[in-house]
Amino acid sequence: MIPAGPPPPRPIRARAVWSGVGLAVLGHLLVAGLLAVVLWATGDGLGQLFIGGSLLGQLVLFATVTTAGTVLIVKGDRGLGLGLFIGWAAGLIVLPVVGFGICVAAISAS
Amino acid sequence: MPAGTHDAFVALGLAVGGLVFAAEVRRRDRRDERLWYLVAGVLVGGALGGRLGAWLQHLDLRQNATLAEQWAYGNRSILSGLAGAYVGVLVAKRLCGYTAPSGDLFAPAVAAGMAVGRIGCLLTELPGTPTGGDWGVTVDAVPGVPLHPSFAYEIAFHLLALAALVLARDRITRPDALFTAYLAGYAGFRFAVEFVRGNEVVAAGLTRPQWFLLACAPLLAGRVAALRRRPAAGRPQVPA
Repeated sequence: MIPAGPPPPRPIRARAVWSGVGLAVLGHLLVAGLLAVVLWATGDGLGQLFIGGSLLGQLVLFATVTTAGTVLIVKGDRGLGLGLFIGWAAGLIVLPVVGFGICVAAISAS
Repeated sequence: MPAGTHDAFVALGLAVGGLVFAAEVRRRDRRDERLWYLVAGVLVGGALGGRLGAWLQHLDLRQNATLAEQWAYGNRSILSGLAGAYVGVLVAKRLCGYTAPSGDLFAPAVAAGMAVGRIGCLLTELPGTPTGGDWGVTVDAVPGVPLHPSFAYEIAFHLLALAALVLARDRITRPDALFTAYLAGYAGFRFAVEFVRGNEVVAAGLTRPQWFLLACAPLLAGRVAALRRRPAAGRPQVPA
């Protein structure tokens, strides 16, 4: 009796990809929003806290997307995993100035 | 212009590029789920390349910003973004086992996306060097001095390239020939337009993007040589 091979991977569904894109973009906005709240609460300007917080947030987001995306692509829903990578990269291209603007607005309001 | 203007047009450029890519995939009947991997490779490579590409600006490494400073504050670069996107596709193809040429799927999308995205640069960045021509534009930062609208030149180039790609795509059947022609054309155009862009001249009268292009020229020449050895394919299958 021939042992059954691994099951074929599930097809990539566009809806799953778009879900991943949405989650990653939400992650970018969450990082910018959290940083804005911290800056507003502390009244800190665009100094060490801004650059440190911004980099930490980006790093956490990058690590989360890379880990979750890779695990999903290898073992789970490939569409969702690829969507996470696509959304993270698109957010990185599009959102840096918007995130910066959110933080400046928070500082101005504090 | 508000800072969000630039991002808005970059986002619009990404969206337009995505739509053009999807249309080209359908038109050529090249639907394959592994293309999602290629899209992820393009964007991840492009994002990382664009953000970190301008990091090593000085030969004296001590003069360069730290990686953290570059990530947070550094210049973004379209050229290194394109190079990163190219490498990203190569890595993605290797990972998912996609072996067919894919450049011609991306060429019109890149041209369309760049044409739209550059509108954001035109509206928010210093446009170029002074010009005596009637078409010069003035900005608040340099009052009373007409400047070359170099981003408008670039938008015009990408629109013309897009038109040429659309017109030639059914006639030129050698795989990746369109993409290679677009890359070579943009490299030449960008090298020329740098003389009126107003970027810092770093050595021998050339700017950093021009030196980057010169460094990449052998790779482009190799790509052209490889293309000439590749046989032409049959006419693309276009659904009625």
